[in-house]
Amino acid sequence: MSDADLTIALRGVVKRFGDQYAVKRLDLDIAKGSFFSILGPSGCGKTTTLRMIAGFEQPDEGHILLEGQPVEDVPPYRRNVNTVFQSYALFEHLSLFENIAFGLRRKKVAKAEITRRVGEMLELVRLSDRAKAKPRQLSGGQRQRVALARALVNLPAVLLLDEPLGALDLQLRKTMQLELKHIQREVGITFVYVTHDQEEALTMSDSIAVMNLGELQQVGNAEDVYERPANSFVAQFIGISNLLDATAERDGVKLASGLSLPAAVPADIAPGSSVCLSIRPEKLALGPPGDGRVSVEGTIVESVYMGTVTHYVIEIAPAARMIAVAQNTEDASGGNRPAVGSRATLSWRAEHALVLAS
Amino acid sequence: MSAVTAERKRRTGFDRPRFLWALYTAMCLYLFVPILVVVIYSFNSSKSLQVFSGLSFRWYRTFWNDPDIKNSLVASFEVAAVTMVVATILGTLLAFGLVRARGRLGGSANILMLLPLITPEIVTAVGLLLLFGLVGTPLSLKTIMLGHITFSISYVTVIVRARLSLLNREVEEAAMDLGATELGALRLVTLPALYPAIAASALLVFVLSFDDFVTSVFTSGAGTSPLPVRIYSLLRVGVSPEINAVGTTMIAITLALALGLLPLTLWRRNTEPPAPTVPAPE
Repeated sequence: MSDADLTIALRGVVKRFGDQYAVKRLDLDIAKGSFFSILGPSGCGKTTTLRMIAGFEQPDEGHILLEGQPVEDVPPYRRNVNTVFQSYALFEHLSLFENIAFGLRRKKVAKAEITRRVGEMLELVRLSDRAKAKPRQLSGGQRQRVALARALVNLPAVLLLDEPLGALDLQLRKTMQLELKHIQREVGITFVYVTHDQEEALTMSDSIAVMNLGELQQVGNAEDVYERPANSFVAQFIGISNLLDATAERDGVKLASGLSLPAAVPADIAPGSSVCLSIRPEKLALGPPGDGRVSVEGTIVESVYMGTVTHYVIEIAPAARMIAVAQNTEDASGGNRPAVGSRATLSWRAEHALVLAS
Repeated sequence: MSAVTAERKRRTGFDRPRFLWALYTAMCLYLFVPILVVVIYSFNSSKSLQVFSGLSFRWYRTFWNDPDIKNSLVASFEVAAVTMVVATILGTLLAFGLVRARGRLGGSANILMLLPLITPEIVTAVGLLLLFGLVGTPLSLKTIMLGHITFSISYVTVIVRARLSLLNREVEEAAMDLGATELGALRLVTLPALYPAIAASALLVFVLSFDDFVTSVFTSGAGTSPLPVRIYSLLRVGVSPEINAVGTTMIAITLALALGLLPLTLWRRNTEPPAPTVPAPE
């Protein structure tokens, strides 16, 4: 990717608060027009990263390039970037119209054009009939859409979103996820979306950067980070993963109980080093193994019926438990499901067992 | 059936006790009868303070033709207006400092700021008198203003600070994010959010200063004294119904001020832009 295709580039960015590192040597490339998520648990440095791009925090080291230009010394009001805040931060004393027009008025845009562009934005977020209302008269979802419109109307190079759906209930969040994705495709502006919700990131993003403790763990699309996690943190943080502590061998791993399992060991992991074996629950099958599958015997210690699927917890060795997800198809109803306490065979394809440095 | 009715009756009784109206009336009488007496007797035609003998504006005329009282009224206005402006500005700035400034100074400044509120006014007033004597400042309306500003700042700071600390910092960041400079964000977003608190404290300070007696007595000099001080010196000579007229005028001024702020808020509500004309979807 050439630098011309990048809206944002972070080069060795470091941010400290006192003697604590909020962000440690971060390098990030964000492509023009993409929906880019920064995903991580609270305190991982994702919001700090966003605030540095917006200009509310200055990096202690490194450079932030916005459309190729370094912006460390540019104040927030002169960056071609707009933010949707977690608290929405609407101007309570102004009407919806004036909230959305705020940025355009600062840029001294002509009155007629302000009326036209704000009108279009109100249309986009479906609030045309509420133009004169004050923010406090709106519901949570409507306030969220005003915050979005207020930022988008300025047609920034990048729109920064700081957990914008965090305050909404589950149902509304799902609707807004789709709506955000739809709006992003329509306006074609680069979105940088900060969230701790892995499902949200997987649903909406073109690219996901996973962060932990101020460090970048992995960058990739949804399938990359889910199917091919770079390390045990990513495997654990995104989706459910069966992680077993093990020791690397030449062409597999050995569990603490002595059980050896075949798996492809990456070249950079030396035999004898301690690793994690990671297998996604839905890649595990219960019942007689097919050809070429790895299989182990175990005891079902727990079964949780969840509607479309059932989760089984299977103990394959002392202190080594795995979760398997089975579809509740017509054959697997009622008494046909394996009972707790019974023996079961677990099997998977060797390529779905990942050996990760721990 | 009867049990249900009984319960319903009991619940209604709990929601709205029958003695509530009596309590309310008693409270209103307690609060307003003394004021009402002053207002009614200010229109009395005779000099009596016991018998109302007919409607007349006689005492207002006396008051109007009494240059001393009129000068005092003007002086009170002057002191209250200057106190209001200066104390509101200083108090608001102090509130910003206390909420926004980091560092150790904040804690002690916080306590110092509250001291004037808990110090008996007489102590502050005597202190001011001694200080002015020590510095050699002749007592005048200016010294009264200084005295009033001293205790008024705390009221402004307490009210504005409460509002300011509730204000989300992200709102100012949002303004800057949308192209406003630091000062622009302050003017366009922070001050409008603080406006009710600033207006309320300004009004409070005006009223406090307008009818302050203790500080005024100690810091006023040989010249014109503010109205409360003037009224007190009149009482020493003997109660004249003229005082009722003066009192009624003061009540009217205070009421007018409070009502004067009302249209201001209404005006703000009506300054929204007209609804945008959205082109109809084709």
